[in-house]
Amino acid sequence: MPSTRSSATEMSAPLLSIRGLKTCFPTRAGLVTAVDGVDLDVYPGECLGIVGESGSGKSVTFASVIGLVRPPGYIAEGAIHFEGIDLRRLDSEGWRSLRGRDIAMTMQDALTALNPALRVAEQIEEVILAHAGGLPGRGRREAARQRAVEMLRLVGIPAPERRIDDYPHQFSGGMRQRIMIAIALSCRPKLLIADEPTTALDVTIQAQVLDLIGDLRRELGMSVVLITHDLGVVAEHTDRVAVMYAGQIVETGPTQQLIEQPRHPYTRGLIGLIPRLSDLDAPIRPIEGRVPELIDLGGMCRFYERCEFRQAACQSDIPMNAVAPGRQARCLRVDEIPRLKEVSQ
Amino acid sequence: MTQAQTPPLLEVSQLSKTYHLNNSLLQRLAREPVLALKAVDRVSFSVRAGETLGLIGESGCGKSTLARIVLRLHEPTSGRIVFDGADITALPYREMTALRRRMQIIFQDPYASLNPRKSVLDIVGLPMAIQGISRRSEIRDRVVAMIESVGLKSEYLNRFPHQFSGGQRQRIGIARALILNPSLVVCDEPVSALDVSVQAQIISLLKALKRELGLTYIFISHDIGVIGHVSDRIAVMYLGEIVETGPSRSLLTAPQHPYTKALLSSVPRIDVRQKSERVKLSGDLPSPLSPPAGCKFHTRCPFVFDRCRVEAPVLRPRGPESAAACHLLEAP
Repeated sequence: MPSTRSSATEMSAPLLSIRGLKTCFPTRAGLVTAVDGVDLDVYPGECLGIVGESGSGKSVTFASVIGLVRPPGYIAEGAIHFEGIDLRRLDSEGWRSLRGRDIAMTMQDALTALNPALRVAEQIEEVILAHAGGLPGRGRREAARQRAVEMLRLVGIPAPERRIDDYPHQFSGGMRQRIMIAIALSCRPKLLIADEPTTALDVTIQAQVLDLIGDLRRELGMSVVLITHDLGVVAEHTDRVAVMYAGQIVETGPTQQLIEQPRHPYTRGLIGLIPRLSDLDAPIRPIEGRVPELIDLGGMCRFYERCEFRQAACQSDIPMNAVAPGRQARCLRVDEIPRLKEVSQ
Repeated sequence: MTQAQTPPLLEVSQLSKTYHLNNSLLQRLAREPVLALKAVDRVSFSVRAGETLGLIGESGCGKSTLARIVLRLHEPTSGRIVFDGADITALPYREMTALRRRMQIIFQDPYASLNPRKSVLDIVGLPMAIQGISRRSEIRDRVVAMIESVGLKSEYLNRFPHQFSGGQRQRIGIARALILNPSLVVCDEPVSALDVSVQAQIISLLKALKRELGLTYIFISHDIGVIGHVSDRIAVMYLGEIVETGPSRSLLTAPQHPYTKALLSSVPRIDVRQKSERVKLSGDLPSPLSPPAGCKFHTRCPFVFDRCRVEAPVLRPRGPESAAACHLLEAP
């Protein structure tokens, strides 16, 4: 369950701060701007959800944060600060000491993210040894192994002393996801970026893994960024949320408020198309049309073509508009949206 | 209920499918023990004409295998399949091919299920060609009509799969399944590879087509929200067995089997406040190669007691059209 963050947390300095981030990928069809002007803060101890469909830029935003944008992709503009450190100026040495220790990331697909040829033990110990400030010089390996076993126990792998010497293929999907979380958490990072940690998992296992991330967040006092396409996951596990569409953040705010009263037509559309178990007769309303190609956009609202509430004025660059303290939406009609009725189909 | 009187379009009884592993010549010569994997274990259910039966369960529970056996894309190890009053369990290949006109399938992966070298016309027209319709103009006309009714433009006729988005590809897959005007369509996770906004478009399309063409669906999904939305009745599978069946509404609002309860309460929901207390499961799905003795769910069940470990419960009626297999429910 998400903890209710008071506005006091909002006041404290952010752990991670992103301003005006723009990340581009040159392709044969032209320059794709996958992330275009993202501003985002992550505060200590909070769980921030990033929701969006494929191609919305949610993963690329955080690949940019952690310095893993794959060439020929590049960060074109923007500032990224983590605890005051300018991440865009970090050299490879600086990255090596930061990544894994202060910021850790789990990848969507645990099977391809783990090395199939190495035992789980080696993959966890590698991270621990790389950042082993606190480990004694003698018997470092032994200490690292012990810590690795502890981590596996922490994430709920049964008989970790034995299983640590197994290879990734000997574990189930849920267990592999846990191993990846164990690796990410082995150096007690301040920030965990979890990219679709449960997409490949069945719901009962998904619930277990998300509970685990929540428990560890509280125990270790870290911040978590949960990247997902599933608004249900966001509703149950995050304090705040940012909704992304076509490379931009279109709405941010405290999770409960945003879901109960969305202020951007896209967010409202997303919520409307989730089949609800509590109301089986409620029709699911598809959002017609498609996400625009991320080439040469600009000059108009990116949701314009699919929006039921568009006006002539929407054919201009739309800024984020304040809705309430801590709530913003990229729509000219933020104040009207809750009152507007859908055009019936 | 007038529905109860119409004879079922499909009736399946005691259907099982066992795969034998370690069964290569070399392994047999080396006398390695043959492992038996019971993917589907004595499953019985029926589907009435015009209804949608939803099949839910986690990966590896046998729902896709079950659907493929019903269409005889895989052969059952034992059991009986009756389609529209005729036993088709042992129907010879040629007659089965003719019957496939009436039973079709929509696959999960819109990328893997379309031949990348064939145009839309070839892909959607292939079932007609297989059924012996060879006049190009007739095929073309029907394909055009079909792709328009699934929401694609007729100009797309000569395009290839790579020129389409995931949602459009799934529309092509749907057109291919419906071109022969079937009565029964198995939808095997038709939306799980798609983005949510596209999912909603495809679900609306499938529901509209069902109404217009009077189709009967077996709808497989691991997404309970989707299943709840499309199904009239639901069957819940666990490790190759059906553990609970019932009308959608009652099954989703008042689940009886502990596994169904756990499954429903694990679904992350946006209406957090209306959610029931979580039934937490521990551990993973057991290996289907060595399923637990007694009730197969007992290793993860929060309500397990002694009887569950030794005796397998049977699916017994629990109210109108509902059935569940659990010892807990039988206690006085």
